[in-house]
Amino acid sequence: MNLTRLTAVLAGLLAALLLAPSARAQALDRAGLIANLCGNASAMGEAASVLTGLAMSGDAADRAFAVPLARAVIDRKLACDDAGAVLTENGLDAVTRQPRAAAGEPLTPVLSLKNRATYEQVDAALALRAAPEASQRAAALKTLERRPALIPEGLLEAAAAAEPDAGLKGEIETLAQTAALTAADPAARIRALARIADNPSRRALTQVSALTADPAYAASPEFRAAVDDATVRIGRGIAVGDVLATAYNGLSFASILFMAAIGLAIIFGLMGVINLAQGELIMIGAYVTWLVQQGLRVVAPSLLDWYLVLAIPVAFFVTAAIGIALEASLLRHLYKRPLMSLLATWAVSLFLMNLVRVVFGTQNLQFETPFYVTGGVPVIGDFIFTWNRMFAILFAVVTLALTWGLVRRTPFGLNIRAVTQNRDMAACIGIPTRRVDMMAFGLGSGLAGLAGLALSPIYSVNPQMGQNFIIDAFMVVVLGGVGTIAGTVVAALGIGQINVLIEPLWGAVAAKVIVLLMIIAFLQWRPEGLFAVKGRRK
Amino acid sequence: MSLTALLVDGLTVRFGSFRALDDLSLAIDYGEVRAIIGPNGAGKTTLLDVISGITRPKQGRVLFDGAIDLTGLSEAAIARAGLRRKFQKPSVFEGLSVRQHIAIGADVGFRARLDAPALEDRIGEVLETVGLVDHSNRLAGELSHGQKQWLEIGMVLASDPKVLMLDEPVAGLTDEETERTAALVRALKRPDRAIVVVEHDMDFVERIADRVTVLHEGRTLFEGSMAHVRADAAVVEVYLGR
Repeated sequence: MNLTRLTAVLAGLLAALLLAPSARAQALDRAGLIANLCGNASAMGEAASVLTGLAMSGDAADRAFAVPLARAVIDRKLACDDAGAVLTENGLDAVTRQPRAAAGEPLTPVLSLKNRATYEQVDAALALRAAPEASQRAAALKTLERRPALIPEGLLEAAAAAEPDAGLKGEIETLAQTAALTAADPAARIRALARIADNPSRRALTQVSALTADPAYAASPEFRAAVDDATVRIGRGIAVGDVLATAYNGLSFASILFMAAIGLAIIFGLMGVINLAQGELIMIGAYVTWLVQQGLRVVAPSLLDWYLVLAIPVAFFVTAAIGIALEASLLRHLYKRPLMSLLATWAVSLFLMNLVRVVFGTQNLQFETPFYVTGGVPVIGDFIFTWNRMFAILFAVVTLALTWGLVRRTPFGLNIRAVTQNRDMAACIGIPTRRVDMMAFGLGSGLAGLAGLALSPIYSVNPQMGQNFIIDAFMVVVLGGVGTIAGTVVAALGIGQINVLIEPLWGAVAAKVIVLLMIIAFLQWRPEGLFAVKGRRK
Repeated sequence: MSLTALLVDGLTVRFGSFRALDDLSLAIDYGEVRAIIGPNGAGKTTLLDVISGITRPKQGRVLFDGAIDLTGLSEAAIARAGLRRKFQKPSVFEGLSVRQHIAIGADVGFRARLDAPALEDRIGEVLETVGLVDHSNRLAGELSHGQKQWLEIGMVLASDPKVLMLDEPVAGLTDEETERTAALVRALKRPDRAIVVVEHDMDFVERIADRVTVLHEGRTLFEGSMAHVRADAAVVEVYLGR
């Protein structure tokens, strides 16, 4: 044992000679450290700075060695004797970590008031770097947070770089910024400002603008310039982020509008029937998605995360079947009477809504959030590229492509377009218009079901959710020009963006009113909408 | 195949108190071009509407090919049976291309009759016949009035119908276009096809028709060749008397 100790001391001396003055990089003199811990106040201070060095840049084994020491000193669980010290908590020798009992009358070192604060800090620093549990590291971070000025520079950066937990990592980085901003060294503060300005956010702006009250702001022109510069850069970043966030939200809202409207557009364009039950078909699509989720929970829990994908055909075909049944049983008899069909579909809408209320209740449905619609990527400022909105956007794009392909590239689509443009002529060249009506109604209803699926990760799903969409969807159809896919896309984008632009300024209700007025004004100028099929309607 | 393509038997159609067709009977044979003329309101277009299934008669029936009663069938079913009709106003699909029109006319519905190469051949043949080869990829909305008329004829022709009904095929056409249309209609005449033309233009009718039926107030006023029609006192009375 003595030999080990001697070797360690020699190695320590050698390293000190070779690598001085870099105290951190030298191999740890474990015995010397323990001796210092058992020594007087100044020796304990030295030991604290060694431990701090370990927390920042020592190798992992040394750090693991050091972790229990500071805590043991604070809790007075370190028993010093002639042979070194014993950690009384678990009866291990402090140096070798072999079990042994303290010899003779062991002394327990007492921390001075000044050293106590230092040791708290050191303990937290070590725990942050080396504790196995994320919760322990989080607790250590809380301790460090209390005295940011005492945190050694570089510790938090090193800890953040090594931190596996993303949330904790973010917290460490934030604290690192705060610590650096309140550091004593003005150059470090200016560097910290530049770093903060690289990641603009509202929180960073609050942090930086608070510095204008700092004495250094008035005293040092360099610091002042750095603060002002950072404020401007952060402000710019936030502005860019806000614009992007608005555009992104508008795009996702437009996707939902498009999904809700495309089915309506096909039905209205083909048959001139305003299907007020379209909103309820959206709602049923969302409920079917929920049922698929519940079914998977029972039948195949391992596939639960993929319920949104697996529900696609189910939602489509269930709502399509409801649509076809509706067409065949009710609307078929009302084609020549648009007002009657309007009222009939309204009645169906109320019926479906209340049926769902009775069967499922009125509360919002709980949806699992699969990993592919969770979280997002922070881009700039407060703009986060969220995956649930991206899911809706991608879903709408794919639906658009498929619908376009179906209408433009298949015989069924050719029949739909022929019947839309001239029903009598289509009938007289042998197109079975009744069947085209029925299948197109099914298609339009199925698309509504898909819309319900797409918005289930974003909006709350309840029996009256369809009501929120039918008016917007109808505005999109009218603005776009009856029965055109391109018009529906452009109108959805326009209405979606304008809504999202106005909402933060004057509120959601005002946004709806203003958009409605704009559409009315636009239709005075172009009654046929943005893109109208040239055709005679009777 | 019976000799009679269409047998109209005691048809009566009323719109309110107005009798558009009043116990009308006539027979149209395969291989003939039959013109139906008459003053406005005589029931010409109504007759075509009944045959093609758009209007349901109050009484009477229409037999196709001596056996098939058309009066209960839907428009699409009648079209599938082999009766095709061109409307009075050019009824083309303005948003579809010329080629798509012919394709729809030739190969409609959910059961395709022709495979892809056969369809291409048929489209080429029909476009050749109606003289729209150079316009095959244009949208129908961009065509001139005359071209729309021919396109519509091409569309109804594409399925190779047994009965071809043309409602005012030369209305609004120039003399030259009328000339071309007359030649086209004559060229469409075949022993296994009946062509029914409703028209006001007497010169055109004279050039194309084998026989002429004159309608007046929903009844047959006269039937015979154009030369006889011109000589008939009752017809002259109806046309010129008021």
